[in-house]
Amino acid sequence: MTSRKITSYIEGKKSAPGSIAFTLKNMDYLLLLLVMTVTGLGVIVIYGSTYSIPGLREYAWKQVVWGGIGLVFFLALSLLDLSKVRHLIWPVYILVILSLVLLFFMGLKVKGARSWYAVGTIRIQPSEFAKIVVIICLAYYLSHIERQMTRIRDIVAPALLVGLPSALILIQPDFGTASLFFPILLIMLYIAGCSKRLILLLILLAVWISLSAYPFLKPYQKARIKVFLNPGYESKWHGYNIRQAEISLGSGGIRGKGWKQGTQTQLRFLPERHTDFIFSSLGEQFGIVGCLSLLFLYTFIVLRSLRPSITSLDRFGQLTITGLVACFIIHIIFNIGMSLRLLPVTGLPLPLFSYGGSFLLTNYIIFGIIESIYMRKYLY
Amino acid sequence: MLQKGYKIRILIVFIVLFLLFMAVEARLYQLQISSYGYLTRKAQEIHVKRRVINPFRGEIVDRNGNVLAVSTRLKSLYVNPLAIPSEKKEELAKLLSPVLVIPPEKIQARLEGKSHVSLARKISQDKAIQVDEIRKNLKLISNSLYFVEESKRLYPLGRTLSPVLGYTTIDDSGDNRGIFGLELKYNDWLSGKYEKTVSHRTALHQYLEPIEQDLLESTYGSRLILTIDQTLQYIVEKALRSSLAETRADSAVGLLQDVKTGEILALCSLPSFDPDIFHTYDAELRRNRCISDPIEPGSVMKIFTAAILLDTGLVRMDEIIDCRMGHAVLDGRSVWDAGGHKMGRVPFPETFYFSSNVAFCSLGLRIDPIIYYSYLRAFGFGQKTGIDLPDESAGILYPVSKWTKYSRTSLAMGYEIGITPLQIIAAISALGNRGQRMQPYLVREIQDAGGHVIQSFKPREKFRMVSPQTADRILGLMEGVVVQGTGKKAMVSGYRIGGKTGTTRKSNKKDEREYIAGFAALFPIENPRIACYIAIDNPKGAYYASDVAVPVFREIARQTLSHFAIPPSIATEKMQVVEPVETVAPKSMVRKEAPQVLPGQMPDFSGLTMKEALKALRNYSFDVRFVGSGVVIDQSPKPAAALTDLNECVLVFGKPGAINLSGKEL
Repeated sequence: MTSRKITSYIEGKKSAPGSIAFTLKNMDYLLLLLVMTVTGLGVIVIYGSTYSIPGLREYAWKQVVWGGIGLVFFLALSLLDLSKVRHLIWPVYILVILSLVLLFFMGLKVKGARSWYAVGTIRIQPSEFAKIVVIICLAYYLSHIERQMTRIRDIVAPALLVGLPSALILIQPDFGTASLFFPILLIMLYIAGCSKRLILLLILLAVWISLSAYPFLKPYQKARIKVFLNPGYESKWHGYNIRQAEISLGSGGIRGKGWKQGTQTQLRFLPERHTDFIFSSLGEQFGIVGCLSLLFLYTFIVLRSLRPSITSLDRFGQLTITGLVACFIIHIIFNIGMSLRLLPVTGLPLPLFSYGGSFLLTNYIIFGIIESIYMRKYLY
Repeated sequence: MLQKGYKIRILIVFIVLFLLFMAVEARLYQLQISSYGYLTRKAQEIHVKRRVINPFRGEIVDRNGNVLAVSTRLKSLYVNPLAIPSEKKEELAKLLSPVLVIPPEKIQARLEGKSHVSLARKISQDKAIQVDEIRKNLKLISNSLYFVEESKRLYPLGRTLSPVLGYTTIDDSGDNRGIFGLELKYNDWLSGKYEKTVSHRTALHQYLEPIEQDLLESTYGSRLILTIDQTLQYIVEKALRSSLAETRADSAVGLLQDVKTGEILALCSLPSFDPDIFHTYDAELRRNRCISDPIEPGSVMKIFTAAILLDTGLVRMDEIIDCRMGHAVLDGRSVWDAGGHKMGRVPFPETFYFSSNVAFCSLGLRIDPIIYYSYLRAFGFGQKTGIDLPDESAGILYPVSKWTKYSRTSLAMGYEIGITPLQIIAAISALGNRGQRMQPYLVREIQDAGGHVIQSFKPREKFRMVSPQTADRILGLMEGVVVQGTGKKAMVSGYRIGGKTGTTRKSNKKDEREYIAGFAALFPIENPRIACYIAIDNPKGAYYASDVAVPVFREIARQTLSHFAIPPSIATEKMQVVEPVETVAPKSMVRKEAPQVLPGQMPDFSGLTMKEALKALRNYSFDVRFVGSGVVIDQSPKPAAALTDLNECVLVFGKPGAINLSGKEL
């Protein structure tokens, strides 16, 4: 089968890698189907948790519209041959940094953080796109490293590359998104062949920085960590959310209370029921069956996405895919871990599942890029 | 080399990540399967709450359905201190202080607690909105400061009838504990009851299921329908008030009773109090003098002395009595006739018309003490009438064993005995009812909130006082008092009225000359329907009953006759037509439709009756004060005035047609 593809391209030249026909023919439809299935389930859970609440009712419909827009981006990026434009990534990186800086002057303040641009009624969160651009940049940079990185100065450049946007996002302040960058850096450095000694050093450095940064955290952030470290500690505010999330999930039991029947959600005890705590809402409505099904779908998506990174011969493609998948999976772990009190509350949404336009779009772009690399894996 | 290790590195990274997935699954098992039961119970505890429905006190209306006491629901502000971050407490207290008119330190003290407490009870709608805005500005969650509806008792007539209606104090559900008057006596009927139900409650403290109508209605208290006629009450009260102002007397009482049934139609004790602020009055001023203050009736007693004499046959109607020109020494006691009346030998009725002390003292000596005492008991003296009000006094009647040699003469003139105004009118009524005593009562009917009769009180006969013949003779004697005796000023042209004056010298004050001017009457005397007793305590200046009490009675009688549209007894050429009573609104003039309401503006109440005005006011939070009776003729603020910061509005009632259109403020 593999050889047939190659020969059809070399001999017949019927469809060039950039053409729509090529895309439609070579696309990994199973991956697209999985991604759309998770989005669809997300829409169902969003509707089931918000339909009775005035002002939130139309969110499920909005999510469908965003999914449609995401699909367009997905297809557009599948068409794009990333290897041909890889040298353009530096100007894009600079644009992203600029947009993050401009945010401090032109950004819309929502819940105390300047993370959004308002374009008419649409809000755009540049940090979402920054994640992708930083991953591609890093992949591009690391793909040029020919030998194993063993010295500290080998990792100064990648660290700065990731550190700059991460710092800009941190002072918005958006602690959750900023905290994503470090594990991505770590994973990509490791896969790119960084020595274990350096990785360990980086981890120790991160621990030291977090510990010394603790006194500078805002009171609500400290409380989140206290709640996490000490389950008995429930301050007036911060224990409440996580407690309600646990009750929602636990009272769902094996099969759940049924769609739209989640009492914790309908009686508004569960906060952020359609965004950050949507996993608890899923657990309440569909029980452990629903939760494990979602985890299964995520696992399937991850394995399916990683397939080209194993088979691809191109380092840039490999590193891009592993970075993007790492980003995807870290989101999942941070979000679900928070809902289950396995991790402190960071406020990161659940990929493809939580309500949120920019975030859904980002995920479709991620999978569009993965598709693009997958289709051209033998061409690199 | 890099490429070779690459696949293994990927494998290691994703194995680590999948191990994290395993941790997630283990935790899911722990929460959703192991702790399922515990967490489900927790959820139940949070979601399903026992909901207490506060009772709603029943209303009190007069015999014609006019509202005398009614409850409305107002908002009370509660706070949940745990839902307010400590750094915001000081600011919150500072902001709330001017709205609630409570010093900020006091508010802050409440905010420091741990349990839900009330910050202010029964606040107006405007203030509730202001509090809500403060809460939103401080970004506090909605269950940190919240409102609970509580009832507030309103008395549309204000001071009028307050000693009868009584008042309530606050309990857990608002003004719902009667502590005086009818509110106390019928508290169990009026108060309604708490109901409980189970309902889902949201995190915002809203109950999901509405309360079933049946359950809601079972919290309503019963409705009392009184025997009181609001118009008559107003007539009596107005006449007594103007007399009080004129004579500068200490106090005054006035009662009207239906002779045939025993129903109390009006019961007035002045000075009265404002039930809204009853606690600012001395207990002394709050009592109902008609039932709790025995007085010496003075010459009014001669009615009863005459009744005993006639019933026992100790005197004949045509007997000639020697009044000894106004002075005699009887049983060692010097007796004088009042007012310089000097009569010689006159027939018995004339001694009654002109209230001769000499004649009655000498006649009193004819009565055997035991018989005397048993008659006085039969008249109901020295024992409670059993009226449905708390704190009734039995009065003072000494047993024969304690009588002195002066007792019979004293009793004949109405001294050495304490009778409450209610006991007097009950006994007078019995004479009007051909000697048959009726039980005096104030509540005709108890209805449930839907208007179905629960209990109905019928007229109840008590024991007979005197024979019908004696009663008829007394009526004749009483008419004579008005026609030619001391009660001439009581005459209402066209009608036949009977009465008896009584000027009591208050014996407990030796050095001061203090009097009680009293008048007891029955009308129309040919077939009595109404009994009336009024007493004015310690008038300054003129003190004779004939000058002080009788003109007051005439005013009351004139308006009462007109109110009942009783046809004149005597057709005379010069007969004056009784003018219509100003306070009664002809039905055709009464506006029936509800006032036009523009949001934020004062509605136009003109032409509405009190009941209709109350109905229209249900949508507003401000207090309302009623002045007068009839239909609304003026109001403050004027119609269409802005409603901001309004705490109270005043509605003036009067004769329809007198509507104040000039726009002049009250």
